[in-house]
Amino acid sequence: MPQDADLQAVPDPALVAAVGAGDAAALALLYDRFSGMLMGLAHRILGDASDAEEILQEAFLQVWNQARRYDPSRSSVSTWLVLITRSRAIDRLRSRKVKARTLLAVQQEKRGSHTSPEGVGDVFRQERGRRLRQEMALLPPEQREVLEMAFFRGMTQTEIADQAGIPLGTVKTRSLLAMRKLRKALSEEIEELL
Amino acid sequence: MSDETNRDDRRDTDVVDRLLEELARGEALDAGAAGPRGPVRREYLELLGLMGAAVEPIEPPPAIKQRLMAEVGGSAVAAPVREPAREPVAEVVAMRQAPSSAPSSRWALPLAASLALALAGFSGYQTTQLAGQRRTIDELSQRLEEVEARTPAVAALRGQLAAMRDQLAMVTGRGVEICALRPMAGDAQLANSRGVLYVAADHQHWYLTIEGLVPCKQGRSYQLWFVPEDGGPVSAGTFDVGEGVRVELSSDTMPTATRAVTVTLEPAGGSQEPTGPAVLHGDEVMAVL
Repeated sequence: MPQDADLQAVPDPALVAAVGAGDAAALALLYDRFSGMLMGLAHRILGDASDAEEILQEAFLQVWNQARRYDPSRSSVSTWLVLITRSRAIDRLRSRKVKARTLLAVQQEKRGSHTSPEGVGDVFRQERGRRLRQEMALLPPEQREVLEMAFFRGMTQTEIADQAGIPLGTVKTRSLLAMRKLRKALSEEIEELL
Repeated sequence: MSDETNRDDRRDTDVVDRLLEELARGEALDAGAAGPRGPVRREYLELLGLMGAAVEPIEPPPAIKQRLMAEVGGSAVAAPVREPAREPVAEVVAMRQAPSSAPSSRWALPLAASLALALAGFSGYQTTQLAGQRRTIDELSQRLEEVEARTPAVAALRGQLAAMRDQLAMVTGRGVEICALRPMAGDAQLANSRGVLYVAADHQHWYLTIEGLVPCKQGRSYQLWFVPEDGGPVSAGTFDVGEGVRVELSSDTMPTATRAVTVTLEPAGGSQEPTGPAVLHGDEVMAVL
């Protein structure tokens, strides 16, 4: 529909600016664009649909209240939203003291699919996601594991070393190698976000 | 490696360290709490964003959006939103907070109408362009998947490329140590042979290049040994060489407290312990970064 097409054409930073100016319709559209991705992230971290839904709502309320603080020179909207959601989910994870929950159980759980209207931006986001998953899969398992423990479980490097039974220096080396590799491999995708 | 490259590499490494530490702390990467900016740091920040965005999406129940919109006082259905003006948000807010009795400009309505028309035209054009790009991306993605499915060599090349990137990252990493392997004296055939062993800071990942070795005779092969501080040599595998071909070996394991590395000539398939003559040896370790 033409109206939907018009909505899809509004760039993300402009949408956040509108949210910052108190435009609830802009928040609704921002939600439509990113809720699937952020719900997936919260669910991946928490492993529980109910908790993930709460985090998703809290995250968008934070966006509503703090949209004026968003600075496009600091990060893309997508990254800003990811980090807000991740931070809240990790806080929840810590408060529940369920750090020992394994990622494997979450990964094996059957997930629904995101069926929001797919716009041009969604295609680019999905393509970037696909590329990152592809590059993550190419990482040596031990490097990928360290990154996932840090990002999705909020573990410190010392905690990772303890849990994995490897020296702290090894954790750092693996993290660095993995991050450098991803940065090089995904330079084009990162450039699109700058 | 130049000093400038070293500096870049150290800066690069520091950025990642800091990012990961902040990441682990959980709160500090909130957009409002981030520290000084730089292009490299920004790139890593976006990389972290990509990591979060790479998770398979899940459609939340409609009730979440309804609750959210009820909380903020809006409708759960997104109303048409036009791109707001490019001015800073603070100015937009200030305009909205101005008293309603403020005199309006007589140009406001015509100007708004003109802007709306221009924006509508631009939106239509942009939508058409972006829709075309979406179709192109879909088509290209599909074609790429088809080609990859038909060509196992592509997957092999990807693996090879990943391995090369791994090696490059390792030999340029912070804390890497190198050990030069030199030919044993007295054998003229080995005079031009040499090797360089790179050991990562974790003392586990290593990468070895060897040049100048002559091909083994039938029934023989070269064998690499790591010699720990205590205990006998530990085999790291056998290899052969082609005439004039450079050998590259790597692994992510190495005996702890390795003090030397040796290449010997052994029966094909290797030996439990060195039995043949040593051809290359190195025991002087040098930290380069």
